[in-house]
This record gives sequence, structure tokens and C-alpha cells, in this order.
Amino acid sequence: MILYRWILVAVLGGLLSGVVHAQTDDSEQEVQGAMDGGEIPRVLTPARLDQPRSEVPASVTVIDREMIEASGARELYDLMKLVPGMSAVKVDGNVPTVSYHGTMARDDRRMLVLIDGRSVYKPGLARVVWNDLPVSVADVARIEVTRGPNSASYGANAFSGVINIITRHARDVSTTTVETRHGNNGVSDQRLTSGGDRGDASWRFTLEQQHDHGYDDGYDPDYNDDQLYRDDKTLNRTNLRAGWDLSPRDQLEFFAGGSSTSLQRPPDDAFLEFTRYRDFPVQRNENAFAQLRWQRDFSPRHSLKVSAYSQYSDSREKMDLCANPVTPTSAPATGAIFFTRQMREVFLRKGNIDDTVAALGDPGETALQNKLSELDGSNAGTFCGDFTFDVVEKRHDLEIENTLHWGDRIKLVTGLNLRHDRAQSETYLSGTAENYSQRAFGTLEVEVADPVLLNLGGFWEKDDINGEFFNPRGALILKPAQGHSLRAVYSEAVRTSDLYEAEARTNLTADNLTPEFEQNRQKWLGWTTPRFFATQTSPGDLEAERIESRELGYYGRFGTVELDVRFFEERLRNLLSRGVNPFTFNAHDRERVDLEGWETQLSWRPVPDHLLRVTSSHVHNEASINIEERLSPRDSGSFLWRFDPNRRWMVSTVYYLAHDYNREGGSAVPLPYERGDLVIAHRRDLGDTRLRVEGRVQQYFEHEPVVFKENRYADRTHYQLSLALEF
Amino acid sequence: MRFMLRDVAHVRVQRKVMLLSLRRCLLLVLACLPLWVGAAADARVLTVSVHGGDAARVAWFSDKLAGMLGERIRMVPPGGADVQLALDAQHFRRRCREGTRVVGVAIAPQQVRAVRDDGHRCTALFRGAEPERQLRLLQLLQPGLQRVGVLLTPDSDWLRTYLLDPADSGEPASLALDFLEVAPRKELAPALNRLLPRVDALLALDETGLYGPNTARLVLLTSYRQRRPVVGPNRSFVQAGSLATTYSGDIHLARSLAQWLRRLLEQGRLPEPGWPAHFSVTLNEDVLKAYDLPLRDPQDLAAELRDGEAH
Repeated sequence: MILYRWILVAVLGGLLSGVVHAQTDDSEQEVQGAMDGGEIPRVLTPARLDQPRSEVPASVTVIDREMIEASGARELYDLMKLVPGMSAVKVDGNVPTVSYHGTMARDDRRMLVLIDGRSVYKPGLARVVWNDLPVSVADVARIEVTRGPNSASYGANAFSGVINIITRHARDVSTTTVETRHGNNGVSDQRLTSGGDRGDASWRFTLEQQHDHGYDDGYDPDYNDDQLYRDDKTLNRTNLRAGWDLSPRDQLEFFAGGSSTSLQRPPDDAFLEFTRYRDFPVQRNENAFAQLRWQRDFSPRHSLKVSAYSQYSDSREKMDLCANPVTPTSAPATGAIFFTRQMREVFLRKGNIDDTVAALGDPGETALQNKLSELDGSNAGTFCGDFTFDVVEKRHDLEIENTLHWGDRIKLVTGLNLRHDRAQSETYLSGTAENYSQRAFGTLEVEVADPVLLNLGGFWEKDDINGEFFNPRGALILKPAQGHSLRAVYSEAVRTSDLYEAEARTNLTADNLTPEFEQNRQKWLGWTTPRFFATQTSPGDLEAERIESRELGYYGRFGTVELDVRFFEERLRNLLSRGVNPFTFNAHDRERVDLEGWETQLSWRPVPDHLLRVTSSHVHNEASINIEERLSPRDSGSFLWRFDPNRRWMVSTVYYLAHDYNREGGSAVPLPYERGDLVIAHRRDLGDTRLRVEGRVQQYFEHEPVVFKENRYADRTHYQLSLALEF
Repeated sequence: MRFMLRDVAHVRVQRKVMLLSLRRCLLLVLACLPLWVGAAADARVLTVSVHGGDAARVAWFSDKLAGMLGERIRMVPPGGADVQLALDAQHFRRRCREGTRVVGVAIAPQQVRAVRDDGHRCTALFRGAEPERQLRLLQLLQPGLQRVGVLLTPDSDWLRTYLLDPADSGEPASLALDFLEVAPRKELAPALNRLLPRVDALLALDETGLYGPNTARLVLLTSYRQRRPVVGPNRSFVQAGSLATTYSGDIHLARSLAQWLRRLLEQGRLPEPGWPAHFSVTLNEDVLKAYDLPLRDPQDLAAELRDGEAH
């Protein structure tokens, strides 16, 4: 507690001392301006300038617009392949997973993703839904990826790394662009982006729709559908950013946006054991957010930022199921037994699905046997109904951040944050769960000697369901010259339980039943709200997942060459690796992962027209359970070459390699990933209108599926053509 | 000291004359004619008057020039001087139209060009920093720099002739200049958004239509958001957030004027309009640091630039 009090004192102290400095610096600035005879106020003040790259206490990868254009990426997640050590693939049909240093393939819950400072990490079911991000690739100015834990700056869940997506400022879009893109694999995209300004106000907005067929090869010869993986997706998104320069010292920005996505989903194997699908499931997600950010520069060395946002998401996946009879010779109505109160009671006693199903042959289970006989002898027909996986998640967040420079050697960033998370779900929570959290954070950078920087950071937080945490970070940075640095970093981070993990009470409720069951629910099913027999309840009081990271790194710029090298050792403990879903919920058996390896990223512009960029990563993953190694390729990398022969043409190629996915997991053989992209773009002025034509060819060099056996493309060559008019 | 050097040169000429044929002697005599003319001019005192600006500035320039040139010049009131120095554009235009020998001091290149286009043979020290020098400063600060963007207005488009694009020199292109012409102010934001993504840095020329108090915020914030440093155009901009600039303050202008007047005394003519040869460098250390560029001593940078110009 003493430590926490010190943090609060430091936070408040930082805020108050900043105000004092503000008054002092004001008078200095006026005098300085008068002395120089200049009429231009300071625009890029130390408080407004970012930390130089060589002084950042972490490994950072920056993906800027030049690389985004060269990559030809149409989805945000695809850009993450350019980050060393990052796994970014569609592992679950049309649902991408982005994970630094891999580990689990499906549960994308160990990375924090921010868009303009707003966390898009979902509070209800801890995850980042890349499909739902309400940002077009065209709206992105820059992506900064911190490789390594960063809870000391961002709090819980900045576990393995942080992806910070920075959208284009409203003033940086001053034209209107309409774009259409088409290609094989059902690719059909449309986009409208427009921006403008009037006096001190500026705005830009984007409307975008994207569609593709996803993996389109048959994967299961036993399945009697058209054998195609059901992973078509349609994404609609909009994004607005507006800014007002209230005064030379005050900037106000407003962000808003939303998305609606429609995802075909494959049949769930767990349900196929008891049911068959009358119609295939479709997941529909809707998201919206609004954010206000005000920044005031009290002086060139002191600024204050206040940010408030609210966000909402609603995800529903409806399944139209009919229950299979208990045995092939049983009456069709016997399938309804899986949705009876009697079966639920047995499950609550047995505790697992297998023992409960076995009870169907146990004469000792009198009530269950009676119900089964009753159904077997009835003419109620097949039991069919609709089942919906639903979750509504809301977040309100308020943050105040104070940045203060003392001279040239000390910088202090302090802040306070209040957050309210709420999740509502009949399926996962049987109601509503909420969480209030309070946070305080601070980072102190001190130049202790001329070439040596010390960076100390800490983040304290307390929430209703996880209690109190403090995540520290310490870094020593040696700068032999400006633009070169050697760094040693130690950091800790946690992933706290989400609302589902903490308060799960799952119930799959059937609606819209076949007429006989609908009219006589109590009679046939034993309750008026028929539910699937299996249910899971969280034991509560779950411990957080933890990571400890040690890093030695180098960053340097030599003329046109930029190099970053990272050696790391990461210890992940207390991992919640086993199933915590409506069919099984194992929160007790915790796992561990030890990661060691190195990463490099190098960019080089040998001549003005050519840009080369190479990344490589070697990770040794030693996990206590195979599932934590699935998305962790031992060796991976990328190579990008961009050539601009003149202003009209751009040619680029990108090569990605991951060797291998699912090495120790469920796949019989390791699954390599090897892909090459070629992008050719041509620009032409047509009077005041600019035309941009871009062709992209994407070649998968491997026959193997991506991570899982279902993920196969019928045609390993994908091509797209886009046409954009800018006026 | 200067006379001693000239005497030594004279002795050397005499020795060579003895060894040369008559024809060569004649050529040599012709070649040496300007020296004699210069010597003749040297012998007299140049009268100089200073116009424009406030009285204090006029007095300051008069004092400085008198101090630098000693008894070789005599500062006189306006009217009848051999050379008239105009400290502002208004006086520069007026005196030029009067047909006297005028040297403008810190006059915008566009204004000098307009006066000369009217047929007046005045000369002037340009206001602002020399584009080529600014470019070399940018290269010294950021050795890996390869693509530099330059915005020009229709009025300043001719300034591009002062920036030789290395790509046009036939040498391997290590640095490419990307020019974009823009109508001032209204079209500045779209032009920045179009130019900045395809360059590594922006070279801001002294063009008030593009880079003034009303546009500084737009230029500097837009370029920083896109992580493209700006060099130039003047000290005020550097203080506001530009990376660095060369500049010629009044003391540099005075030194450059003294150099020009010496040339007039010695060679009988004034140089063509151009930027002052004397300058200093100023840096914004905060911005340099943010871009991870090495901090350099401004005096060392200026010396390095001067060395480059000497060669």
C-alpha cells in the first residue's frame, strides 16, 4: 500500500507542479518571442514531440503509409505480418488472430490493441475482434507495435505487446476518394473517403464495405454439404475524425465510428455430437464508439490530455438446430432429451458431458429414463429450435494524462483512469456482469549521465473482479550516439480475467421450437425455458495470467539503414489454456510457456527509388501444453521491396514466411506458411481528378492449409484489381 | 596588408613579362587592365548612402560599413552617393527606378526579379536563406536523406533553378528533389498531403505565401504527423518547430555588403543579385532529438557549409 500511495503522490505532484511551471514558461516564451522578433508561436514543443525512437524502452516496429501502400493489404490484420515475431493469420475461418509470439491460435486475448488511444480489447469475452475494427486500411496513418509486455504504460492486458493504430488526422485528408476493388475469391470492396476543413475545424470520414469468400476449398469429405468452409464475410464500417483548434494551445478532437459484420460460421463440432444444423449459422456483430480528446499545452514543456470514450458492441450468432435421436433406432423426439430439465439435473450432478450422456444408459437415473421413455413413445417429432450465442459489451473510459519536462534531462508522464465495463449475455453470463476499475500510472525518464537514460514506469490498478495489481518496468538505455541505443529492459504484465471468465454462467436457450414442443414446453421438456443440458459456472476469484520479460536490444540508424535487434526471454505463467466455453470450463489447471529467441528488423533505402525491408524472428517455445505452441512458428520473417520508378508507377513485392504453425499441436504435420505478393500501381492526373489503378497478385507457395486443416484455398493464386478516383 | 600582397603580385608579373613574347605581353597587358582600373578605383573614396528602415537600423548599417571599410568609403546623406543601399523593398524599387547604382539589402528574390524584369540593372542581397545551402544543411543533418520535397508557388517557381536536382546532373542519384507547385494558402493543405508521403523531408524556401505566421501551424504539424522534418525557411520557423536553417542577420548582411563594396572598389562592378555569402546556422534541438538526429554545433555546421561553398 505504501508503494501505491507514493504513486498517487507522484501523480498529483506531477499535475500540480506542471501548473506552476506553466506560469513560469508562459512569460519566458513571450520574452523569447519578442527577442527573436518572430511572430510565429512554438508549434512543435517538447510536450508535443514524441520520444525519439532510440530512447523508447522497448522494441518498436512502425508501419507507415509507405509500407501500407507497398503491402497492398486490404485488411488491417494482414499488415501485422510485417512485424517480426507476430503471427497474423485467419486461423478460424474468417476470424483473424493476431498474436505476438503466437501461443494459442484461437483465443486472441494476450495483446492490447489501441486505435487513437482507445482500447478495442473487448471486456466481456477478452479478445480483439479484428473484423470489427471500425477503421479502414486507408484511414491508417501509422501503426506502432511495441513488442514485449507494456502493462507499465497501458495497464492490464498489454501482455505480450501493444498495437497502437493511429488514424490519419482530419487535416491530412483534403480530398474525396472513391475506390472499388474486385478479385477472385469473391473479393468485392467499395470505399468512400472524404475530408475537408473550414477555418480551425477539419474533418474526414470513410464508408467502406468489404466482402470475400474466405477459405474456399473442401476440407471435410464426410460432411454432406457443398464441402466448402463456411467463412464468407461481409464487413461494413465507417470512421469519422474531426478536429478543432480551439486556440494555439488547445486542440479538441472527436472520433466516432462503427461497423457491422456478417460472418458465415462453420458447424460447431461440439453441437454435431447431439444435433444437426437445419440452417447454417451466421454471426452478426455491430459496433459503435464515440471519443472526445482535448489536449492543452500549458507551456512548451507541459501538456495535459483528457480523453473520454464510450463503445458498444453486440455480437449474435444464431444456430438453427435439430436434435439427433439418442440412438439411430430411437424415435425422433428422443433428441429433445438433451434439452430437458432432467438431463440438466444429471449434468449438474455429474459435472461433465461424457458422464451425463453415459447416464442415458443408466437405469439408476430414474427421472432421466422416464423422460427418455416418454419421448421415445411420443409423436412429438423432431425437436428443433434456434440457439443464439449473444454478448453485448459496453465500456466507458475517462483518462487524464499529464506530460511534464524538467529541463532537458527529466520527463514525467502521469495519469489517472476510470473505467466501467459491462457485459450482457444470456449465453455466457445468464444476465449481466459489470466491472469498475481505477488506475494510476506514471513513467519517469531521466538522463542520469550524458549517454545513459533510465526509464522507470509503473501502472497501478484496482478493479472489482480482479483486485489490485501493480505492473513495473525498468529500462536502462545506453546511447553511444544520437540515433543509436543499447537497451536492457525488465517488465512485468498481467492479463486479468474478463467478465466471462470471472462470472460465467452459461446457458444455451432454445427458442422458436417446433410446434409440438413450443406448445407443450413443460410437458415434454420439464421447464418453460428449455436449455441445452450442459452449463458452466465460473468458480470466480481467478488469478491473472502473468508474464515476466527480459530484453536486450539495439536500435541504430546508419545513413539509409535502420536496424533493430531484440534478444528476449519471456516467462508466461498461470496461463488459462484449457477450455473455458459452454461445454467445458477448466480454470484450475494453469499452464506455463517459456519463450526465448531473437528478432531483427532492417530497412534500407539504397537509392531514392528503392526501399528494402527485412524482418526475421527465431522463437523457441517451450510450453507445458501443446495448445500454447500452435501459433508459434520457430522461424518467421518477411521481405519487402518497393520501387517507385517515377511518380506515376509503384511496384512492390512482399514475401512472408512462417516455419511452421501448429508444429506440436493438433495437426499431424507441421504447417508452413509461405506467401508472396506483387503490387503494381499506376497514378494518372485527369485534370483535377487523380486516377489510381492497382493490381495485386497474392501467391500461396504451400499446398498445406493455414494453421488448421480447414483453412484451404482452392486457388493458391489470388488477384485483385482496384480503381480509385481522387478529386 | 592588402597593398603588400598586391606589390608582391606586381613583382611576379614583371618577372613573367621578361620571359614572354611581345604578343603574350600584349595579351597580358589587356588581361591586367582591370587590375589597373581597380587600382584607379581603389584610389578614390566611395560614397555610400543608406535608405529605408528605421533610423536606428540605417545608422547601424552606416556605422558597421564605415567600420569594416575604413577610409575607403564615406557615408553620405541620401542623394548623390556612388552607391545607395536600400534596406526595404519600397526604397529598393524607388531608387532603382531613379537609375542610380542601388544595392538592395535583404529584398525578396521575387521583388528583385520584378524590378530587374522592368529593365533596371539594380542588384541586391536576397532575403532569406540560399536554397542550395539549405539543402546541403539538410544533408549534413540527415546524411541518409534521399528524397526532398519542395513546394513552390507560381511566383517562386523560378527558384527551382537555384536547386540543381542531382538527378539531372547525370551522376548516380543519391538525392532526389520533388517539386510541387501550389497556389498559396488555400491549396497548401492538399499540396502538403500530396507531397509529404513521397519524400523524406520538406525544404521550405523563403516564400511568405507558403510559410508565414498563418501557415506555420499547418505546415509544422502536418509534416510532424507524417514524420517528415522541415528545414528552413527562417529562424522564426526553427523556433516554431522546423529542424534548422541557415540565416543571414544584419551583421551577416553588413559583412556581405562590405565584401560587395570592396569588389566594386577593386573591380569596378557589383555582383549580380544573390544570397549573402555570410550566414549562421540555427537548430531546434528538441526537434532534432525527436527525429533521432545527432545534435551538431551550429558553428561547425556553418563552417562545413562554408568549406563546401569555397570548393
